[in-house]
Amino acid sequence: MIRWRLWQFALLAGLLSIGLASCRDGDDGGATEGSLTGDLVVSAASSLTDALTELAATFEGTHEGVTIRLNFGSSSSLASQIVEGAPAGVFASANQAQMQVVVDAGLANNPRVFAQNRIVVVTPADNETVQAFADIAADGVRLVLAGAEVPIGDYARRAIAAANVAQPGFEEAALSNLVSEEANVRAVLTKVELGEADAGVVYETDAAISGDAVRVVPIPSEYAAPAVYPIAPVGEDPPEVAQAFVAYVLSPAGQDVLAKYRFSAP
Amino acid sequence: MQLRSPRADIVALALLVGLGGISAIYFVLPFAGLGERALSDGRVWELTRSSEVRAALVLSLWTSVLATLLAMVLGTPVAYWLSRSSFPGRSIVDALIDLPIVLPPTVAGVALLTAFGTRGLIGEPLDELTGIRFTFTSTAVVMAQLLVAAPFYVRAARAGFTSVDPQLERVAYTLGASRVETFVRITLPQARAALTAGIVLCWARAMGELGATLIFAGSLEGKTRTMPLAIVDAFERTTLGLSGAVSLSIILLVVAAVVLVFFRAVTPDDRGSAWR
Repeated sequence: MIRWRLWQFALLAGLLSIGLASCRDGDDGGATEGSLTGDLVVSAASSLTDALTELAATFEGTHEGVTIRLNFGSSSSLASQIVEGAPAGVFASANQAQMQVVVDAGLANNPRVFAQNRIVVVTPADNETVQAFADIAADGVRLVLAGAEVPIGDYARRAIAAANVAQPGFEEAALSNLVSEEANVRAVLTKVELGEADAGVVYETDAAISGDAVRVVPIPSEYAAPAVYPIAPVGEDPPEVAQAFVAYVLSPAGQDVLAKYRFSAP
Repeated sequence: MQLRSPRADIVALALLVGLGGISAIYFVLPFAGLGERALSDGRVWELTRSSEVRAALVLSLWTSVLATLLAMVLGTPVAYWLSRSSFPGRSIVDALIDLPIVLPPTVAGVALLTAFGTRGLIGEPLDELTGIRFTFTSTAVVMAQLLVAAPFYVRAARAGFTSVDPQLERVAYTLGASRVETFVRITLPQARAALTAGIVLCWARAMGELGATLIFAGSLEGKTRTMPLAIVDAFERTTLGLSGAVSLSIILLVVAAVVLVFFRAVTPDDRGSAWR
């Protein structure tokens, strides 16, 4: 008999916990004014890893009941995930195109640009092969880019295509040097840091994080437009905490943190 | 001491049916999901005929077959030696061979980089002396597959050789057969079922290799982007997304099913084999 009671108890406890858990999820959007609570998933471009980690920690510090879970990856894979129904409260993309994918799916409204970045070539610190942007097309250079739909991969290919106008054949030569298409900007950076690649194209902010491990070769500004980062709450009816986090990132305090990591203001 | 009551039996039965039902749903539903998506999404079929998919399939097939052949050539003597000898430290050798089976493949990828990478133990002097580099080449793909998959073959082959009665080999020797002749005509056929199982497991593992390849070989169409890497790549791209990933998955599923059926057909129905 006692054993049977235990079964009933376990079943009851199980049902209760499921009920409680679902209540908690439902509460996310319904917080009362002044006291935001709930879990917030922030899906953000890899290049934002360090800046957003600090922004999230500060936001959690000022809002006791809020827990932010950060999900970093290429903006293109994050956009795919969100469109396929992955939970996300906020999406911060490294270009407009991937934000537009989420907007077109009806899952984000009025994205706002919150930061800008510049793209650069990085080479291993002890590798002399690449001295100028034009050198990435030289014979035998091992070039690593992110995939064509990953924002940094797209920006890099646009810069290479722009250089091709003044120097026909440049694009073909540079792309024939491509040895790997990586999943995101941090993977490109790692391959260069390890010395496996002679050159890679990353954001200025990523190169800064690598410090002495890599040498930065600038890309002439006439070839490379600045990278822009839009941010938006996600979902048909985004929770209040998502709106609040976006507002914080756009606020002067949020912009200070981004400036610390060398992002420029929109 | 409590006697079994009818009620306890009913609980046990309910539990069994419940867990069985959950398993059935959990293990079957993902494949139903793939099938449903393939049928409802017209792009899935379109994409199976794309040049990217063909390049990935061709690369996956030849690299995994080559890795398996290498595992057989390198692994068979080791497996036979381990099955016929005993020496101090044998269990350590056994454990070392099994290590890649329990290790996450990403660890294998990092390990390969530290050994054969451009700044690796052997990779650096090799690059300086000969200019040969492994990273970002199809060779690196085969190396990654070999490292993570070969242990599956060696394990199965060792078990197979152990199950062959040494008496049979001794009889062959006394009848004047050489060691090699005995191995080829007595030992190999006796261990055939286990070897076949090892070959299939090794090939399947090589075909599915993702983590080590991504880290050590990179990802480039036609060169290092095998089917599993192409699935990851498809998901990275919003123009392909799940449709691209599903069409690659369907192809892998079909290839795997064909191989499984083929090997089941050619494997003798031996008792005590690791297969069946």
